[in-house]
Amino acid sequence: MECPAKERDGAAVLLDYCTRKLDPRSAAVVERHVAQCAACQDCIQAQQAVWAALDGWEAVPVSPDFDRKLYRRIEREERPARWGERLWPLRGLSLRPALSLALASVVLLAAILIRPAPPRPVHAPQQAQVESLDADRLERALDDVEMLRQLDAGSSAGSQSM
Amino acid sequence: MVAVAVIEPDAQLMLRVKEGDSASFALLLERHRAPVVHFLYRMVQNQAVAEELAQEAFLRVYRARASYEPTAKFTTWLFRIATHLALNSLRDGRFQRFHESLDQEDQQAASREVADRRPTIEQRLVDRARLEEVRGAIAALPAKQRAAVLMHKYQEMEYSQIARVLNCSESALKSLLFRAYETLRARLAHMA
Repeated sequence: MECPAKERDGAAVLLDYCTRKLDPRSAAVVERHVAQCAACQDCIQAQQAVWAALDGWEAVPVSPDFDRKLYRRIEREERPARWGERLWPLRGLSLRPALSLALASVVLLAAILIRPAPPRPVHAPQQAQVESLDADRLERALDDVEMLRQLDAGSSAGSQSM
Repeated sequence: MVAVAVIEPDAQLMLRVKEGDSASFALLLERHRAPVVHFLYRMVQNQAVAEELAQEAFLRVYRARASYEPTAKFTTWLFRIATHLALNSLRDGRFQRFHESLDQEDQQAASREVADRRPTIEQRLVDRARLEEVRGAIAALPAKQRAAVLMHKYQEMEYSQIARVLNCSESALKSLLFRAYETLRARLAHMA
């Protein structure tokens, strides 16, 4: 085994050895090397001293009102959203259908308002139309008269034969 | 054979928070409150600032619940947020304005000591000098090395997890730790 104290990756091995994170087989290899290497012995001893010194630094307990302060901050952030929900009368519903409906209404209204006005009626064509309508009526009336005449003729022929 | 993705318990809780379960958030807070506060305390060396930063970290977790995806361990994500906040705080120099003296810490520590185990005055002075030395050695480390050492020593995180928190490769992290412990050995080895 190469001396782990002399290379950076090897230092991680020594660190893991000090913290007992190495598997038993690797730990045994390191132990055999350390037994005959003064540099590694010094390194391990110094690292264990650092470890013990760091162990002596206890953290101060968390304040009892930590959670209360946190939840107050959360509540403060959520409050505007809740007010928004209260103002929205259909809060159980999604906004998407309502928005679609509103958009469709606007488009429909715009179409009605923007639609071009019907062309102003011109006097002469209207007169022509009236004339053509009268001719049609006259023709139909004549047809009706002719039909009635035929019916009348048919019925009189029938009464004579009886 | 079908591979089944196993979601760790914390991530499962966070997924429940995502669905609107506030009780799961309370459980996550209960589990991780102390480790996060202690980590931040050792980073900025001020209890009030550490708690403020820890609250901000949990608030960010809560805010991000809707977009949460369990792509990494929950603690990796949480410590990434906490580390980011601590590094920003150290960079802004906020901690210097609030730097806590050991007297304040002594008062807090004294309140939790059991009467019959109270050390003598001499012992307390020695402990205090040692503690001051440790705190000074940690504070003298560059911020990223400090974060790496604290996560490695006190949170007992794996190299891979610390590397993810610090957004670096595993070999870069080992190099970072090597330099940090080398500095600490030079400063603290005499304390053995």
